[in-house]
Amino acid sequence: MTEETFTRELERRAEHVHGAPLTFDDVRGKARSIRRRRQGLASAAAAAVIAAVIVIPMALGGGGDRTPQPAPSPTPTPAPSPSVALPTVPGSSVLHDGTLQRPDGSQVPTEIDGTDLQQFGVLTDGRVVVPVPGVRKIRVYGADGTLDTEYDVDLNVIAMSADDTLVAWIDPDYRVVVLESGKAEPTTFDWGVPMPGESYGSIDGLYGSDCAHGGCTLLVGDFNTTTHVLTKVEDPAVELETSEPLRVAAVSPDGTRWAVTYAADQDPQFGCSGIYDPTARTMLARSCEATPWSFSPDGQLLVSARGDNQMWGSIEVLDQDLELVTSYRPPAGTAVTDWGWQDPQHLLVVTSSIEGPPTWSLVRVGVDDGAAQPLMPDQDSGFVISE
Amino acid sequence: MTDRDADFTAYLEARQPRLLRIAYLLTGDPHQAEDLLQTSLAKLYLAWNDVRDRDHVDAYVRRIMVNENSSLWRRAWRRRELPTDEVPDLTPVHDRPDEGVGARVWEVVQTLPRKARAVVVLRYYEQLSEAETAEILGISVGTVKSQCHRALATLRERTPADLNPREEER
Repeated sequence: MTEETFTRELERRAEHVHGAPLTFDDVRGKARSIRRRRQGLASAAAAAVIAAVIVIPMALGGGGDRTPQPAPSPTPTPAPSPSVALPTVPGSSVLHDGTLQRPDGSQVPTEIDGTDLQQFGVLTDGRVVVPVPGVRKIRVYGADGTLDTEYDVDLNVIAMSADDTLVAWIDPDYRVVVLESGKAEPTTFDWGVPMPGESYGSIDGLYGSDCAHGGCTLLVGDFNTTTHVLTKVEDPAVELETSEPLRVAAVSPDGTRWAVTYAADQDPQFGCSGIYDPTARTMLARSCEATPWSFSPDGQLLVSARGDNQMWGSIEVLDQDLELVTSYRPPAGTAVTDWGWQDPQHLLVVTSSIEGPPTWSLVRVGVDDGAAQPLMPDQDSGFVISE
Repeated sequence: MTDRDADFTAYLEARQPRLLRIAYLLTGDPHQAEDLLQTSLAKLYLAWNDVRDRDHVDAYVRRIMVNENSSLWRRAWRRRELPTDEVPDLTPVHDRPDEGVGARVWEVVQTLPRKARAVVVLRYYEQLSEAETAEILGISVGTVKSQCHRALATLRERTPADLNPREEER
Protein backbone atom coordinates (compact mmCIF):
# COMPACT_ATOMS: atom_id res chain seq x y z
CA MET A 1 0.00 0.00 0.00
CA THR A 2 1.38 3.34 -1.01
CA GLU A 3 0.45 6.96 -1.02
CA GLU A 4 -0.77 6.46 -4.58
CA THR A 5 -3.24 3.90 -3.29
CA PHE A 6 -4.74 6.46 -0.95
CA THR A 7 -4.90 9.07 -3.67
CA ARG A 8 -6.47 6.76 -6.21
CA GLU A 9 -9.05 5.29 -3.86
CA LEU A 10 -10.07 8.60 -2.32
CA GLU A 11 -10.58 10.02 -5.79
CA ARG A 12 -12.71 7.02 -6.71
CA ARG A 13 -14.72 7.38 -3.53
CA ALA A 14 -15.37 11.08 -4.08
CA GLU A 15 -15.85 10.87 -7.82
CA HIS A 16 -19.57 10.25 -7.71
CA VAL A 17 -20.49 12.61 -4.91
CA HIS A 18 -23.10 15.05 -6.14
CA GLY A 19 -25.20 17.05 -3.73
CA ALA A 20 -27.96 19.52 -4.42
CA PRO A 21 -26.17 22.64 -5.73
CA LEU A 22 -26.08 25.51 -3.30
CA THR A 23 -27.21 28.81 -4.71
CA PHE A 24 -25.82 32.18 -3.80
CA ASP A 25 -29.01 32.87 -1.84
CA ASP A 26 -28.50 29.64 0.13
CA VAL A 27 -25.04 30.73 1.15
CA ARG A 28 -25.99 34.33 1.86
CA GLY A 29 -28.90 33.24 4.02
CA LYS A 30 -26.63 31.03 6.07
CA ALA A 31 -24.10 33.85 6.30
CA ARG A 32 -26.74 36.18 7.71
CA SER A 33 -27.61 33.62 10.34
CA ILE A 34 -23.96 33.29 11.33
CA ARG A 35 -23.52 37.05 11.41
CA ARG A 36 -26.51 37.48 13.70
CA ARG A 37 -25.12 34.94 16.12
CA ARG A 38 -21.68 36.53 16.10
CA GLN A 39 -23.09 39.97 16.66
CA GLY A 40 -25.26 38.68 19.43
CA LEU A 41 -22.45 37.17 21.38
CA ALA A 42 -19.72 39.69 20.80
CA SER A 43 -19.74 43.31 21.80
CA ALA A 44 -20.70 44.59 25.17
CA ALA A 45 -23.31 47.30 25.03
CA ALA A 46 -23.33 49.59 28.00
CA ALA A 47 -27.06 50.03 27.98
CA ALA A 48 -27.58 46.30 27.97
CA VAL A 49 -25.26 45.90 30.93
CA ILE A 50 -27.29 48.39 32.88
CA ALA A 51 -30.48 46.65 31.91
CA ALA A 52 -29.04 43.33 32.98
CA VAL A 53 -28.03 44.70 36.33
CA ILE A 54 -31.44 46.11 37.00
CA VAL A 55 -33.78 43.62 35.44
CA ILE A 56 -32.26 40.21 35.93
CA PRO A 57 -31.81 40.26 39.71
CA MET A 58 -35.50 40.85 40.16
CA ALA A 59 -36.53 38.11 37.82
CA LEU A 60 -33.82 35.50 38.21
CA GLY A 61 -33.34 35.79 41.92
CA GLY A 62 -36.20 33.45 42.51
CA GLY A 63 -38.32 36.43 43.49
CA GLY A 64 -40.45 38.54 41.22
CA ASP A 65 -43.93 37.43 42.03
CA ARG A 66 -42.97 35.36 45.05
CA THR A 67 -40.35 36.96 47.22
CA PRO A 68 -39.52 40.59 47.91
CA GLN A 69 -36.07 41.35 46.56
CA PRO A 70 -33.48 43.80 47.77
CA ALA A 71 -32.97 46.84 45.59
CA PRO A 72 -30.73 45.98 42.67
CA SER A 73 -27.20 47.19 42.83
CA PRO A 74 -26.11 49.50 40.02
CA THR A 75 -22.89 47.56 39.67
CA PRO A 76 -22.39 43.81 39.42
CA THR A 77 -21.33 42.17 42.66
CA PRO A 78 -18.13 40.14 42.44
CA ALA A 79 -18.29 36.71 43.94
CA PRO A 80 -15.70 35.22 46.30
CA SER A 81 -12.37 34.08 44.94
CA PRO A 82 -12.20 30.78 43.09
CA SER A 83 -10.60 29.09 46.04
CA VAL A 84 -13.67 29.80 48.13
CA ALA A 85 -16.59 27.50 47.52
CA LEU A 86 -19.69 29.41 46.51
CA PRO A 87 -22.62 27.07 46.87
CA THR A 88 -25.30 27.65 44.30
CA VAL A 89 -28.54 25.89 43.60
CA PRO A 90 -28.89 23.74 40.49
CA GLY A 91 -30.35 25.68 37.62
CA SER A 92 -29.33 27.59 34.56
CA SER A 93 -27.07 30.61 34.59
CA VAL A 94 -27.17 33.23 31.87
CA LEU A 95 -24.18 34.85 30.17
CA HIS A 96 -24.83 38.19 28.55
CA ASP A 97 -22.24 40.75 27.53
CA GLY A 98 -19.65 39.02 29.72
CA THR A 99 -21.78 39.16 32.86
CA LEU A 100 -22.86 35.90 34.42
CA GLN A 101 -26.23 35.77 36.14
CA ARG A 102 -26.41 32.81 38.53
CA PRO A 103 -29.57 30.92 39.49
CA ASP A 104 -29.56 32.57 42.91
CA GLY A 105 -29.71 36.00 41.26
CA SER A 106 -26.14 37.04 41.96
CA GLN A 107 -24.18 38.62 39.15
CA VAL A 108 -20.52 38.30 38.27
CA PRO A 109 -18.62 40.22 35.62
CA THR A 110 -16.38 37.63 33.97
CA GLU A 111 -13.37 37.47 31.69
CA ILE A 112 -15.25 35.10 29.40
CA ASP A 113 -15.16 36.04 25.73
CA GLY A 114 -18.65 35.33 24.46
CA THR A 115 -17.73 35.51 20.79
CA ASP A 116 -19.09 32.42 19.06
CA LEU A 117 -19.67 30.79 22.44
CA GLN A 118 -22.27 28.07 22.15
CA GLN A 119 -21.92 26.14 25.38
CA PHE A 120 -20.78 26.55 28.97
CA GLY A 121 -21.48 25.04 32.36
CA VAL A 122 -21.59 26.29 35.93
CA LEU A 123 -20.69 23.95 38.77
CA THR A 124 -22.48 24.29 42.07
CA ASP A 125 -19.24 25.52 43.67
CA GLY A 126 -19.48 28.57 41.43
CA ARG A 127 -16.81 27.70 38.89
CA VAL A 128 -17.63 28.30 35.24
CA VAL A 129 -16.45 25.79 32.64
CA VAL A 130 -16.13 27.05 29.08
CA PRO A 131 -15.20 25.17 25.90
CA VAL A 132 -13.39 27.92 24.04
CA PRO A 133 -14.60 28.39 20.46
CA GLY A 134 -11.88 27.97 17.89
CA VAL A 135 -9.33 26.79 20.42
CA ARG A 136 -8.98 23.27 21.70
CA LYS A 137 -9.15 24.30 25.33
CA ILE A 138 -11.50 24.02 28.25
CA ARG A 139 -11.18 27.06 30.48
CA VAL A 140 -12.31 27.01 34.08
CA TYR A 141 -13.13 30.35 35.62
CA GLY A 142 -13.32 30.87 39.35
CA ALA A 143 -16.44 31.94 41.15
CA ASP A 144 -15.20 35.51 40.81
CA GLY A 145 -15.21 35.26 37.03
CA THR A 146 -11.45 35.31 36.54
CA LEU A 147 -9.60 32.63 34.62
CA ASP A 148 -8.48 29.88 36.95
CA THR A 149 -7.25 26.92 34.91
CA GLU A 150 -7.02 25.76 31.34
CA TYR A 151 -7.08 22.20 30.01
CA ASP A 152 -6.16 20.85 26.58
CA VAL A 153 -8.82 18.88 24.76
CA ASP A 154 -9.00 17.41 21.32
CA LEU A 155 -12.34 19.04 20.72
CA ASN A 156 -13.98 21.59 22.92
CA VAL A 157 -17.16 20.04 24.23
CA ILE A 158 -18.41 19.48 27.75
CA ALA A 159 -21.15 17.35 29.29
CA MET A 160 -22.76 18.41 32.58
CA SER A 161 -24.61 16.32 35.14
CA ALA A 162 -28.22 17.31 35.78
CA ASP A 163 -27.40 18.50 39.30
CA ASP A 164 -24.49 20.64 38.04
CA THR A 165 -21.96 18.88 40.27
CA LEU A 166 -20.01 17.18 37.48
CA VAL A 167 -18.62 18.31 34.16
CA ALA A 168 -16.81 15.99 31.76
CA TRP A 169 -14.79 16.21 28.59
CA ILE A 170 -12.35 14.11 26.56
CA ASP A 171 -8.67 14.99 26.64
CA PRO A 172 -6.19 14.89 23.74
CA ASP A 173 -5.38 11.25 24.57
CA TYR A 174 -9.08 10.37 24.27
CA ARG A 175 -9.40 9.78 28.00
CA VAL A 176 -12.49 10.89 29.88
CA VAL A 177 -11.90 13.70 32.39
CA VAL A 178 -14.37 14.74 35.09
CA LEU A 179 -14.18 17.92 37.14
CA GLU A 180 -16.25 17.74 40.30
CA SER A 181 -17.82 20.57 42.26
CA GLY A 182 -15.77 21.34 45.33
CA LYS A 183 -12.66 19.57 44.08
CA ALA A 184 -9.78 21.53 42.66
CA GLU A 185 -8.31 18.86 40.40
CA PRO A 186 -10.19 16.85 37.81
CA THR A 187 -10.26 13.07 37.76
CA THR A 188 -8.82 11.54 34.61
CA PHE A 189 -10.02 8.06 33.79
CA ASP A 190 -7.36 5.69 32.53
CA TRP A 191 -9.62 4.66 29.68
CA GLY A 192 -11.66 6.45 27.09
CA VAL A 193 -14.81 5.75 25.16
CA PRO A 194 -14.50 2.46 23.23
CA MET A 195 -14.48 3.40 19.57
CA PRO A 196 -13.01 1.85 16.44
CA GLY A 197 -9.49 3.02 15.71
CA GLU A 198 -8.12 6.08 17.46
CA SER A 199 -11.24 8.10 17.88
CA TYR A 200 -13.20 9.82 20.57
CA GLY A 201 -16.80 9.05 21.40
CA SER A 202 -19.57 10.96 23.07
CA ILE A 203 -20.34 11.44 26.74
CA ASP A 204 -24.13 11.11 26.77
CA GLY A 205 -24.81 11.36 30.49
CA LEU A 206 -23.15 11.39 33.89
CA TYR A 207 -24.13 11.38 37.52
CA GLY A 208 -22.82 10.52 40.97
CA SER A 209 -20.01 11.89 43.11
CA ASP A 210 -16.46 11.14 44.21
CA CYS A 211 -15.39 10.00 40.76
CA ALA A 212 -11.84 9.25 41.88
CA HIS A 213 -13.18 6.43 44.02
CA GLY A 214 -15.70 4.91 41.64
CA GLY A 215 -18.71 6.95 42.69
CA CYS A 216 -19.59 8.33 39.27
CA THR A 217 -21.34 6.79 36.31
CA LEU A 218 -20.56 8.02 32.80
CA LEU A 219 -22.73 6.84 29.95
CA VAL A 220 -20.73 6.97 26.74
CA GLY A 221 -21.27 6.06 23.14
CA ASP A 222 -20.54 6.55 19.48
CA PHE A 223 -22.85 9.55 18.88
CA ASN A 224 -25.64 7.31 17.66
CA THR A 225 -26.02 4.82 20.49
CA THR A 226 -25.03 4.86 24.14
CA THR A 227 -22.89 1.76 24.26
CA HIS A 228 -20.77 1.68 27.43
CA VAL A 229 -20.49 2.72 31.06
CA LEU A 230 -17.42 4.07 32.81
CA THR A 231 -17.33 3.93 36.59
CA LYS A 232 -13.89 3.11 37.93
CA VAL A 233 -10.90 5.21 37.04
CA GLU A 234 -8.63 2.26 36.45
CA ASP A 235 -11.10 0.01 34.61
CA PRO A 236 -12.09 0.16 30.96
CA ALA A 237 -15.68 0.90 30.06
CA VAL A 238 -18.08 -2.01 30.27
CA GLU A 239 -20.76 -2.65 27.72
CA LEU A 240 -24.11 -1.10 28.53
CA GLU A 241 -26.94 -3.61 28.48
CA THR A 242 -30.26 -2.13 27.53
CA SER A 243 -33.56 -3.56 26.34
CA GLU A 244 -33.01 -2.01 22.91
CA PRO A 245 -30.49 0.25 21.20
CA LEU A 246 -30.89 3.79 22.46
CA ARG A 247 -29.01 7.00 22.99
CA VAL A 248 -29.20 8.77 26.32
CA ALA A 249 -30.22 12.41 25.91
CA ALA A 250 -30.53 13.32 29.58
CA VAL A 251 -30.24 11.70 32.98
CA SER A 252 -32.48 12.57 35.92
CA PRO A 253 -30.64 14.17 38.82
CA ASP A 254 -30.70 10.92 40.81
CA GLY A 255 -29.73 8.80 37.82
CA THR A 256 -32.78 6.54 38.08
CA ARG A 257 -34.41 7.59 34.80
CA TRP A 258 -32.98 8.42 31.44
CA ALA A 259 -34.54 10.42 28.64
CA VAL A 260 -33.52 8.55 25.50
CA THR A 261 -33.90 8.61 21.74
CA TYR A 262 -34.06 5.59 19.50
CA ALA A 263 -34.44 4.79 15.83
CA ALA A 264 -38.00 4.15 14.73
CA ASP A 265 -39.82 3.79 11.46
CA GLN A 266 -42.44 6.27 12.61
CA ASP A 267 -39.89 9.05 12.33
CA PRO A 268 -36.99 7.95 10.14
CA GLN A 269 -35.44 11.40 10.25
CA PHE A 270 -35.11 11.90 13.99
CA GLY A 271 -36.43 8.77 15.64
CA CYS A 272 -38.59 8.58 18.73
CA SER A 273 -38.02 9.26 22.42
CA GLY A 274 -38.62 7.52 25.68
CA ILE A 275 -38.20 7.53 29.43
CA TYR A 276 -36.03 4.57 30.37
CA ASP A 277 -35.60 2.81 33.69
CA PRO A 278 -32.00 1.52 33.61
CA THR A 279 -32.47 -0.72 36.64
CA ALA A 280 -35.51 -2.54 35.28
CA ARG A 281 -34.23 -2.12 31.71
CA THR A 282 -37.67 -1.02 30.68
CA MET A 283 -39.01 1.84 28.62
CA LEU A 284 -41.51 3.59 30.87
CA ALA A 285 -42.95 5.91 28.25
CA ARG A 286 -42.57 6.47 24.54
CA SER A 287 -43.32 9.32 22.15
CA CYS A 288 -42.60 10.03 18.53
CA GLU A 289 -44.05 13.52 18.89
CA ALA A 290 -41.59 14.99 21.36
CA THR A 291 -37.85 15.11 21.86
CA PRO A 292 -36.84 15.69 25.48
CA TRP A 293 -33.54 17.41 26.17
CA SER A 294 -33.24 17.79 29.92
CA PHE A 295 -34.92 17.01 33.21
CA SER A 296 -36.04 19.78 35.51
CA PRO A 297 -33.81 20.26 38.56
CA ASP A 298 -36.23 18.20 40.65
CA GLY A 299 -36.41 15.49 38.00
CA GLN A 300 -40.19 15.69 37.67
CA LEU A 301 -40.54 17.35 34.26
CA LEU A 302 -38.67 17.49 30.98
CA VAL A 303 -38.20 20.15 28.37
CA SER A 304 -38.70 19.18 24.75
CA ALA A 305 -38.10 21.11 21.57
CA ARG A 306 -38.22 20.57 17.85
CA GLY A 307 -36.84 22.86 15.21
CA ASP A 308 -33.97 23.19 12.80
CA ASN A 309 -30.77 25.09 12.12
CA GLN A 310 -30.27 26.10 15.76
CA MET A 311 -33.76 27.59 15.84
CA TRP A 312 -36.89 26.14 17.37
CA GLY A 313 -40.45 27.17 16.75
CA SER A 314 -41.63 26.19 20.21
CA ILE A 315 -40.61 24.38 23.36
CA GLU A 316 -42.74 22.04 25.41
CA VAL A 317 -42.76 20.92 29.02
CA LEU A 318 -43.52 17.21 29.44
CA ASP A 319 -44.38 15.01 32.37
CA GLN A 320 -42.94 11.59 33.16
CA ASP A 321 -45.28 9.99 30.65
CA LEU A 322 -44.00 12.37 27.98
CA GLU A 323 -47.40 14.00 27.93
CA LEU A 324 -47.61 17.72 27.30
CA VAL A 325 -47.87 19.89 30.40
CA THR A 326 -47.49 23.24 28.73
CA SER A 327 -45.77 24.86 25.80
CA TYR A 328 -44.27 28.18 24.79
CA ARG A 329 -44.33 29.59 21.31
CA PRO A 330 -42.33 32.78 20.71
CA PRO A 331 -43.90 35.85 19.13
CA ALA A 332 -44.28 36.00 15.35
CA GLY A 333 -41.04 36.82 13.57
CA THR A 334 -38.89 35.29 16.30
CA ALA A 335 -37.56 31.83 17.13
CA VAL A 336 -36.28 30.14 20.26
CA THR A 337 -32.49 29.88 20.17
CA ASP A 338 -31.63 28.58 23.65
CA TRP A 339 -33.25 27.53 26.89
CA GLY A 340 -32.57 26.14 30.34
CA TRP A 341 -34.22 25.43 33.66
CA GLN A 342 -34.17 28.39 36.02
CA ASP A 343 -35.77 26.28 38.74
CA PRO A 344 -38.31 23.43 38.83
CA GLN A 345 -41.14 25.85 38.08
CA HIS A 346 -39.59 28.06 35.40
CA LEU A 347 -37.72 27.88 32.13
CA LEU A 348 -35.42 30.57 30.83
CA VAL A 349 -35.85 31.01 27.10
CA VAL A 350 -33.88 33.06 24.60
CA THR A 351 -35.66 34.24 21.49
CA SER A 352 -34.14 35.91 18.45
CA SER A 353 -35.59 37.86 15.57
CA ILE A 354 -35.60 35.96 12.29
CA GLU A 355 -35.59 38.90 9.91
CA GLY A 356 -34.52 42.50 10.12
CA PRO A 357 -32.02 43.91 12.59
CA PRO A 358 -31.04 41.12 14.98
CA THR A 359 -32.41 41.37 18.49
CA TRP A 360 -32.57 38.93 21.36
CA SER A 361 -34.93 38.61 24.28
CA LEU A 362 -34.73 36.67 27.51
CA VAL A 363 -38.05 35.49 28.91
CA ARG A 364 -39.10 33.37 31.84
CA VAL A 365 -41.77 30.76 31.18
CA GLY A 366 -43.84 29.19 33.93
CA VAL A 367 -44.27 25.44 33.65
CA ASP A 368 -47.79 25.53 35.04
CA ASP A 369 -49.40 27.80 32.49
CA GLY A 370 -46.76 28.61 29.90
CA ALA A 371 -47.02 32.29 30.78
CA ALA A 372 -44.01 34.22 29.54
CA GLN A 373 -42.51 37.03 31.56
CA PRO A 374 -40.10 39.25 29.60
CA LEU A 375 -36.88 39.70 31.52
CA MET A 376 -34.71 41.49 28.97
CA PRO A 377 -36.57 42.27 25.76
CA ASP A 378 -35.11 43.40 22.45
CA GLN A 379 -31.41 43.37 23.27
CA ASP A 380 -28.89 43.96 20.52
CA SER A 381 -26.59 41.29 21.90
CA GLY A 382 -27.36 37.67 22.64
CA PHE A 383 -27.62 35.38 25.64
CA VAL A 384 -26.11 31.98 26.29
CA ILE A 385 -27.75 29.75 28.87
CA SER A 386 -25.64 27.25 30.77
CA GLU A 387 -25.93 23.51 30.26
CA MET B 1 -25.97 41.97 -7.54
CA THR B 2 -22.84 43.77 -6.39
CA ASP B 3 -19.42 43.07 -7.85
CA ARG B 4 -18.50 41.38 -4.61
CA ASP B 5 -21.47 39.05 -4.77
CA ALA B 6 -20.93 38.35 -8.45
CA ASP B 7 -17.31 37.55 -7.74
CA PHE B 8 -18.29 35.20 -4.95
CA THR B 9 -21.00 33.56 -7.06
CA ALA B 10 -18.47 32.81 -9.78
CA TYR B 11 -16.22 31.12 -7.26
CA LEU B 12 -19.19 29.24 -5.78
CA GLU B 13 -20.26 27.85 -9.12
CA ALA B 14 -16.76 26.91 -10.18
CA ARG B 15 -15.53 25.25 -7.02
CA GLN B 16 -18.61 23.85 -5.33
CA PRO B 17 -18.44 20.31 -6.74
CA ARG B 18 -14.82 19.85 -5.70
CA LEU B 19 -15.40 21.36 -2.26
CA LEU B 20 -18.37 19.06 -1.69
CA ARG B 21 -16.14 16.07 -2.37
CA ILE B 22 -13.59 17.30 0.12
CA ALA B 23 -16.39 17.78 2.65
CA TYR B 24 -17.60 14.26 2.01
CA LEU B 25 -14.15 12.80 2.55
CA LEU B 26 -13.75 14.81 5.74
CA THR B 27 -17.12 13.83 7.21
CA GLY B 28 -17.82 10.46 5.61
CA ASP B 29 -21.49 11.36 5.44
CA PRO B 30 -23.24 13.02 2.49
CA HIS B 31 -25.67 15.03 4.61
CA GLN B 32 -23.00 16.23 7.01
CA ALA B 33 -20.91 17.09 3.97
CA GLU B 34 -23.61 19.37 2.60
CA ASP B 35 -24.06 21.01 5.98
CA LEU B 36 -20.31 21.47 6.30
CA LEU B 37 -20.04 22.93 2.82
CA GLN B 38 -22.88 25.41 3.28
CA THR B 39 -21.55 26.67 6.59
CA SER B 40 -18.00 26.90 5.28
CA LEU B 41 -19.06 28.80 2.19
CA ALA B 42 -21.15 31.14 4.33
CA LYS B 43 -18.12 31.89 6.48
CA LEU B 44 -16.06 32.39 3.35
CA TYR B 45 -18.69 34.82 2.07
CA LEU B 46 -18.52 36.80 5.30
CA ALA B 47 -14.75 37.06 4.92
CA TRP B 48 -14.76 37.53 1.17
CA ASN B 49 -13.48 41.09 1.27
CA ASP B 50 -10.59 40.01 3.47
CA VAL B 51 -9.39 37.31 1.08
CA ARG B 52 -7.63 39.69 -1.22
CA ASP B 53 -5.44 37.14 -2.92
CA ARG B 54 -7.93 35.18 -4.97
CA ASP B 55 -5.29 32.55 -5.66
CA HIS B 56 -5.48 31.56 -2.02
CA VAL B 57 -9.23 31.25 -1.67
CA ASP B 58 -9.08 27.47 -1.89
CA ALA B 59 -6.56 27.32 0.93
CA TYR B 60 -8.71 29.63 3.00
CA VAL B 61 -11.87 27.62 2.53
CA ARG B 62 -10.06 24.35 3.22
CA ARG B 63 -9.01 25.72 6.57
CA ILE B 64 -12.57 26.78 7.31
CA MET B 65 -13.85 23.33 6.40
CA VAL B 66 -11.39 21.51 8.60
CA ASN B 67 -12.14 23.74 11.58
CA GLU B 68 -15.85 23.66 10.98
CA ASN B 69 -15.77 19.88 10.73
CA SER B 70 -14.49 19.77 14.30
CA SER B 71 -17.32 22.08 15.28
CA LEU B 72 -19.84 19.78 13.59
CA TRP B 73 -18.67 17.00 15.84
CA ARG B 74 -19.39 19.18 18.82
CA ARG B 75 -22.89 19.88 17.60
CA ALA B 76 -23.46 16.20 17.00
CA TRP B 77 -22.69 15.63 20.65
CA ARG B 78 -25.09 18.23 21.88
CA ARG B 79 -27.45 17.56 19.00
CA ARG B 80 -30.26 20.00 19.23
CA GLU B 81 -31.09 19.52 15.61
CA LEU B 82 -34.68 18.51 15.16
CA PRO B 83 -37.21 17.94 12.48
CA THR B 84 -38.64 20.37 10.01
CA ASP B 85 -41.98 19.92 8.36
CA GLU B 86 -40.42 18.70 5.15
CA VAL B 87 -37.37 16.63 4.48
CA PRO B 88 -34.96 18.64 2.28
CA ASP B 89 -34.97 17.50 -1.33
CA LEU B 90 -31.41 16.33 -1.67
CA THR B 91 -29.91 14.58 -4.62
CA PRO B 92 -28.60 11.29 -3.26
CA VAL B 93 -24.91 10.64 -3.14
CA HIS B 94 -23.90 7.51 -4.94
CA ASP B 95 -21.00 5.67 -3.46
CA ARG B 96 -19.20 3.49 -5.92
CA PRO B 97 -19.58 -0.16 -4.99
CA ASP B 98 -16.22 -1.51 -4.04
CA GLU B 99 -15.32 -4.64 -2.14
CA GLY B 100 -11.55 -4.45 -2.57
CA VAL B 101 -8.77 -2.03 -1.74
CA GLY B 102 -11.08 0.96 -2.06
CA ALA B 103 -13.33 -0.39 0.66
CA ARG B 104 -10.33 -0.99 2.91
CA VAL B 105 -9.02 2.51 2.32
CA TRP B 106 -12.41 4.00 3.13
CA GLU B 107 -12.70 1.84 6.23
CA VAL B 108 -9.33 3.08 7.45
CA VAL B 109 -10.16 6.70 6.68
CA GLN B 110 -13.46 6.50 8.52
CA THR B 111 -11.87 5.23 11.70
CA LEU B 112 -9.18 7.88 11.79
CA PRO B 113 -9.49 10.70 14.33
CA ARG B 114 -10.71 13.86 12.64
CA LYS B 115 -7.36 15.56 12.67
CA ALA B 116 -5.58 12.57 11.15
CA ARG B 117 -8.37 12.17 8.64
CA ALA B 118 -7.95 15.78 7.55
CA VAL B 119 -4.25 15.15 7.07
CA VAL B 120 -4.96 12.19 4.80
CA VAL B 121 -7.59 14.05 2.77
CA LEU B 122 -5.45 17.14 2.28
CA ARG B 123 -2.28 15.19 1.48
CA TYR B 124 -3.65 12.42 -0.70
CA TYR B 125 -6.85 13.81 -2.18
CA GLU B 126 -6.01 17.47 -2.41
CA GLN B 127 -2.38 16.61 -3.18
CA LEU B 128 -1.08 19.34 -0.92
CA SER B 129 2.51 19.32 0.23
CA GLU B 130 3.35 18.41 3.80
CA ALA B 131 4.08 22.07 4.51
CA GLU B 132 0.78 23.24 3.03
CA THR B 133 -1.12 20.61 4.98
CA ALA B 134 0.65 21.56 8.18
CA GLU B 135 -0.13 25.22 7.66
CA ILE B 136 -3.84 24.65 7.09
CA LEU B 137 -4.18 22.40 10.10
CA GLY B 138 -1.95 24.48 12.34
CA ILE B 139 0.31 21.54 13.13
CA SER B 140 3.95 20.72 12.48
CA VAL B 141 5.28 19.08 9.34
CA GLY B 142 6.50 16.27 11.56
CA THR B 143 2.96 15.63 12.75
CA VAL B 144 1.75 15.52 9.15
CA LYS B 145 4.41 12.95 8.34
CA SER B 146 3.66 10.79 11.34
CA GLN B 147 -0.11 10.90 10.72
CA CYS B 148 0.38 9.85 7.10
CA HIS B 149 2.78 7.10 8.09
CA ARG B 150 0.33 5.80 10.67
CA ALA B 151 -2.57 5.84 8.21
CA LEU B 152 -0.54 3.89 5.64
CA ALA B 153 0.59 1.41 8.26
CA THR B 154 -2.99 0.89 9.41
CA LEU B 155 -4.10 0.29 5.86
CA ARG B 156 -1.40 -2.32 5.33
CA GLU B 157 -2.40 -4.10 8.53
CA ARG B 158 -6.03 -4.26 7.52
CA THR B 159 -5.63 -5.19 3.90
CA PRO B 160 -5.45 -8.90 3.05
CA ALA B 161 -2.45 -10.01 1.03
CA ASP B 162 -4.52 -10.72 -2.07
CA LEU B 163 -5.65 -7.11 -2.13
CA ASN B 164 -2.20 -5.81 -1.40
CA PRO B 165 -0.21 -6.30 -4.58
CA ARG B 166 3.47 -6.79 -4.10
CA GLU B 167 4.34 -4.24 -6.77
CA GLU B 168 2.80 -1.54 -4.65
CA GLU B 169 5.11 -2.25 -1.76
CA ARG B 170 7.95 0.17 -1.27
